Amino acid sequence: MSPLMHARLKRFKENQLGFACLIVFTVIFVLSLASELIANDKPLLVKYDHSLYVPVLKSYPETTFGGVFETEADYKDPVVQQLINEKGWAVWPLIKYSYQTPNLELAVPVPSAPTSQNWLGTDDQGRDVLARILYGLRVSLLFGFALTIASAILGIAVGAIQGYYGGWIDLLGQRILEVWGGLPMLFMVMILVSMFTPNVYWLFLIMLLFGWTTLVGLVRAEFLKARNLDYVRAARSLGVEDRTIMLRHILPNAMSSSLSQLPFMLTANITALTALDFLGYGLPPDAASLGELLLQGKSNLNAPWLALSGFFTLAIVLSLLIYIGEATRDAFDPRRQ
Amino acid sequence: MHSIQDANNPQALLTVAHLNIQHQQQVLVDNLNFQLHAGETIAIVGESGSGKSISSMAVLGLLPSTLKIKGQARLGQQDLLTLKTEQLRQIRGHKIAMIFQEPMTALNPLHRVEKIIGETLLLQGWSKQKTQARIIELLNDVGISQPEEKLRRYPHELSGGQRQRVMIAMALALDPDILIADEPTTALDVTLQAQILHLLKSLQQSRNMAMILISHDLNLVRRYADQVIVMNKGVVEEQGSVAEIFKNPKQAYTRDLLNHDFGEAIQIADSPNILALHNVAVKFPIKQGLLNRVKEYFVAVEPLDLQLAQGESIGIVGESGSGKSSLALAITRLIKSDGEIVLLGTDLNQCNEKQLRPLRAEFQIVFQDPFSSLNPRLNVEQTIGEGLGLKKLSATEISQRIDEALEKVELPINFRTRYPHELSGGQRQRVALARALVLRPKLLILDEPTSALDRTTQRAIVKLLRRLQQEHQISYLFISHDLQVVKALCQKVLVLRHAQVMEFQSTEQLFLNPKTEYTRQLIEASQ
Repeated sequence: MSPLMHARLKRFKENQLGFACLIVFTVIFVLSLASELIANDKPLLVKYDHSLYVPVLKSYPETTFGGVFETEADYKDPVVQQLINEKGWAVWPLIKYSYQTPNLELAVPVPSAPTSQNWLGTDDQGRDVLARILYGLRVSLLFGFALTIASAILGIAVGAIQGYYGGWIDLLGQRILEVWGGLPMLFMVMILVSMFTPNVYWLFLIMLLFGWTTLVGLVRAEFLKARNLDYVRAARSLGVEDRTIMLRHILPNAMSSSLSQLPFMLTANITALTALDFLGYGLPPDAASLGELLLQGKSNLNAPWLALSGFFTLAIVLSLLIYIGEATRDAFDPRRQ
Repeated sequence: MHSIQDANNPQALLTVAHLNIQHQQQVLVDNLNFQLHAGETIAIVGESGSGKSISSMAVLGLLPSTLKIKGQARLGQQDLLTLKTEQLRQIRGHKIAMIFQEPMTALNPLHRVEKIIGETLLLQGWSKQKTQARIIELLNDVGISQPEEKLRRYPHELSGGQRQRVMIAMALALDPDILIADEPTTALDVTLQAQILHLLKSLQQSRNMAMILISHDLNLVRRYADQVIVMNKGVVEEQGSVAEIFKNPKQAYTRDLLNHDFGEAIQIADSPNILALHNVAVKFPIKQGLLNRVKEYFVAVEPLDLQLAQGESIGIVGESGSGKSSLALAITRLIKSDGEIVLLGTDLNQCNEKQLRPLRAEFQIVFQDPFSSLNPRLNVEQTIGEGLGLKKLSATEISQRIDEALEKVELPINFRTRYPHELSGGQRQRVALARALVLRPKLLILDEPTSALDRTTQRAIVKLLRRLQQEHQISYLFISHDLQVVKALCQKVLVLRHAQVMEFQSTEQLFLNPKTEYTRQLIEASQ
């Protein structure tokens, strides 16, 4: 690792709030990645008739456990549970519901209030809220990460070309960006989404189409500044190709300001996805999502646990990201060296 | 030493004793002693980083609190180093005033001359009329013509010399007893330097002020100072009266600073031309309006002709803004120009970027600032090897050529893995030179390669360049504002001013009988 990076890492760690937030965020992210192992309607491990089964990873027909149906075993079914318990045992995840599993044992009408079974209650289709938050968080974070990285790459490439070549290319690019930036993104996305069948990939492409401009200005400015530095001029006079100059000489020096923007972009992207979900233009209807949870909270004002869970999840995750972003920005600040 | 002998002189205005400044473990100034009397000038001379500026900042309490300061600085009955900010404020400007190096950044660009100079006076509770009269008087004193008309101007509407004069007027506003001038002329052109120093000297005499003159140029202070303190890396090398130091320098370091001898340029035999410029001109369009239409051109270089023979070295001399760097960038095709640039039979201005690329190895450029001309993220090996990577060479050949280039610029082979921040200024400049030389160019354009370096390093670089010229028959276009260096390296000299060629003749002839008044001034200033 270069000494520069080392110093940045040290400065990042010195920001205790930011560093603590990074740890908490990493834990939350890892937990949500392992959602299947924490909240699932299948046991983690089944011991039946002297052999071990892993229903989480593999699907077994009910006949494996001495049942009647050839289809996959429904482990929530009391009959199946009884069959397993007769000749062995089952280890269940912490939350016995997946994001789509309705709690059929409820005696009260849905949405039901938090109980020892459903820690944050159920939504209006009887699904466990905590399980849906876990799965929804995973979708939001992964979607946000992918969108951030893709739009950063696009933005850096466009900004680099504009800044390095300048002149007409820059002028044209700036005008296009201004027009593009003036478009009301949310409404454009809504119109485009309603033209296609909602699926994650379309949504990703459409949001990327309107989100890639964030870094362009920043990178363009860095390249405009760097292209007249003596070592860039020296490389040009050596006969080095433009692409190599950009990648080897300018980009590494322009990266720090872009990198420190990434956490804030991630925040914005998660918020945008949540907003689309809330309006019903986001992910497919059956997918777990934070926006959908908020929408349920709005339609079921008599069940405050829905809105409160959604709100606190978003508030906590976004605050964590903001503090991480601030720490990163300070760590990369050249004036603090 | 001279100043310590009469340490009990009661008339001393300012007495600095055992001044010691530390930053963590690093000693920045070690045991500085001097006494300053009314009407006297002390020059503190040293290279950058010698501690000359921070010593004077310490006296005014302008240093950050992270620095540990020990010793005494007595002004009358008070020890300036122990005073609180409130008390110091009573002294700054009133008793001790300061002039800074860069007038463009030291003057607030949003304020008019009237406010810049009058601010301290108004803070003293002066009336408006009285303040204005005083400002005009001050402007007169510092030699600004038509002061009434200049009152309403902003700093950018003044010339460099006028800005420096306004700054001096600002410092003089409250009639200080002591004036600290921190490199007051370094940012100015040679012709202005003498004027400003002369002005400071006459102001000092008419007001019986004491002055601390900080400079990196020992020869410059000769005419203006009474005492000289030579500093090197925080340590006082030598201290004494001007006459003493110049007549009989005791320390090798002082002798080195005084040494102007860069050696003689080599004699060359007649050889074929490798570079010919015909009507080469550089102009930058000034664009305005909605459609960015070109309104007019800023002319950086007027059309000029030049021939350079193989193994020959031509010096291009002129003050900043004279167009010499633009010419260098134009020849290397780093900026656009008009006219013909014929190198080895090919007109570079007719080639596009792709046709030019294979030719670029023949002409290389070395820049002024060794800190910005190397990419901080590449080590020496990567930096020098970059140009070679574009040729079809095997890895062993590249490695061999890098070693060869390092040897040529007299750097040890084990420097290959070092990064720029691990090198000194002179070493960096050698790496930049090696990067150009590794391609075995026929023409090397050197854009002030020595001006960011100290004297000793300058001498070594000039010697190296001369040797390379002799051994490898490389032609140089050597750009500099320092005629001494040019004299030591170039067979011919081209003098540029305001984008125009003032004169072009052999170095000997130029020094013996300069054709223009401007050249005469340049030569005089460089002595």
